[in-house]
Amino acid sequence: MSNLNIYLPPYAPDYSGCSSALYELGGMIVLHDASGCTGNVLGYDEPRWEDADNSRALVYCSAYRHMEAVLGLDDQVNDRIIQAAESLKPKFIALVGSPVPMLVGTDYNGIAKQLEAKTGIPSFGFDTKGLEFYDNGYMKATNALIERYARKEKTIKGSINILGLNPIDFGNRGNDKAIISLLKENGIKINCSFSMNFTIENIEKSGASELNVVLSEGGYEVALFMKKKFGIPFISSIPFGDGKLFIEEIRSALEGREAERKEVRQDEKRRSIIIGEQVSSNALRKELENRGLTSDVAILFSHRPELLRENDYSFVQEKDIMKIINSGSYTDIVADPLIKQLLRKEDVRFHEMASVAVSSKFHWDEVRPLLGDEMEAFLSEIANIQ
Amino acid sequence: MRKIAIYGKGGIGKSTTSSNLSAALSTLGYKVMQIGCDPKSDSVKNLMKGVRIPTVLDKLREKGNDPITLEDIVFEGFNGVLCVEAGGPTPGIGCAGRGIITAFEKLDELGAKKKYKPDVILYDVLGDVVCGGFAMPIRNGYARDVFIVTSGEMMALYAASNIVHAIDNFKDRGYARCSGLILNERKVENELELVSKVAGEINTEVVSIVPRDKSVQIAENQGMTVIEALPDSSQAKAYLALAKKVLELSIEDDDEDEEDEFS
Repeated sequence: MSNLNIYLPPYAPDYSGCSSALYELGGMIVLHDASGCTGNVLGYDEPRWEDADNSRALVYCSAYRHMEAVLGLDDQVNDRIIQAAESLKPKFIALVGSPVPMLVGTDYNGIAKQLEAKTGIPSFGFDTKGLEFYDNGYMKATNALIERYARKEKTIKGSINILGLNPIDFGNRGNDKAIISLLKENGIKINCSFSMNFTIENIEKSGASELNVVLSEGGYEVALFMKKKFGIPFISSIPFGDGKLFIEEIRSALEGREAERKEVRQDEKRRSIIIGEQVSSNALRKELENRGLTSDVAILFSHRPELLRENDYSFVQEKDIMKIINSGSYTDIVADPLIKQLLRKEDVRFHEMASVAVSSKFHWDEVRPLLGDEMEAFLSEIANIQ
Repeated sequence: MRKIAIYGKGGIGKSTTSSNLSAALSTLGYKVMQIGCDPKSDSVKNLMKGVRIPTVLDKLREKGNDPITLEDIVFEGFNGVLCVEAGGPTPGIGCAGRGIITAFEKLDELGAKKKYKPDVILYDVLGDVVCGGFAMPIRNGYARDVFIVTSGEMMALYAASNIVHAIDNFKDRGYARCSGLILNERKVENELELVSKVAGEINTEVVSIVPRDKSVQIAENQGMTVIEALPDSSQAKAYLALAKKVLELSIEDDDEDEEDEFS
């Protein structure tokens, strides 16, 4: 029963991450399910779907039926997809998996091959299962896009790709544009910002980057893939406040030197725990330790053992969170607002950082802007700087 | 690297043929990995001195949330043949086909191909392509060549024909190709003629003949293949001839990016 969640909802699954990575590219995304998973993606994990300012992406449900699964009637499903694709003329077709087709052993790559042969439209099949975290689906989709479209080109000095920029991690209230602006203002050229504000043409040029900057766990495996494919090195971090630490990390990596770090005396009476996604939590930890607050990280989703510090927690379940935050070891907690209900101690300060992967539409309008004065004030508040 | 799947009716001698084929290939100097894809999990026992090895699904069940390693599921048998059994669910419940897929995914995830770099991977698959899971070994990236073991008995030929049709159905998905029938003789009257006729009807041919011989039983009683127990026998020579034929007819892939294809 260790995976039982009584207070917290299920986190965003792999098919949502997969859809998120493809959403802006003009492809036809077909969730291979009866309709519940499509509802989950569009209703709970994709804030862009609700955004009236954006034209909606082509996200559909395959309307998979009982007898189609039992009898293996893939051709019926294919016919529906082909019919829709012929009318919509998307840039690509992506068949995204869910639990039922997983159980009957659906061959997504085989189906994609058939769809492509029949329509002439580039087609992808993703064996997402609904059993992994969103970061896994994000990785599968992004790697497939790179495999298909990216070319090895002459390296453009000082240029980068961003990997792992998606609304499940960053919301849809401007963090994407703010991060891109910060980089541009600092003279850093972005070849491709996977997976917001980008196009297939950008992906084609992504092999020319000198450095990959991983913004979330989903992008980490992509960075490893691009390192192998194109020899592009990578760092992982996200910006906070004035973004100086982040820019220094990128500059130092591009210049092949160690990032400048200042030694800050840590407050021995206080210690914080940051609960969430690993790359952003590690970056937040650096910011807080720069302000004198030693922090540990508890990771809710997939993690990299090499990015763990001694006192960090991985494979964290609801009961672990309760134990950690009520242990008396921490004076401050930084986590999604839904986690606050697990806190039983009164002398602990709770700082809300909404995560779409955890609280979905309950709090996705409250995802904090990462850059600017408001974040600076928030960091000072956590670090208790007057 | 060659990737070969052995299919055929249940009880026709797929595991005996596969094990002897693996053993024969190993004596020809090839590094072989044999993967049993049948919930019965008795594919490799004659390569392992008659000892049953833990299956991939056994280990996943046993270890729960703890990670398993390749050392838990890959065992070295006769002459260095690497032995794996996919395993199956609790009899009567669960899903055997999904079990095969899960076992394959686990081998991929652990980087089996990258670590062992076999020259030949042999998938010994349960009787027929009954569902998605049992088609897994012939999907793109797994086996490239399918050999079907059959005798001249009606049910064996019927199964062989079904398997060829399944392969044909998936031609446009880039699945493996049918590379021929292996006649495992049962002393049926006019057996070769019968099997050759059916082979012609399903656009394939008999590529090798394994005679019925008591040496197979003698070797199995010792938990061995004929190649190991009776290396100088005429039956061992038949299996060596089969191995050479399989090498001749199978596709050798460029290994450059093998690890990606498998994983």
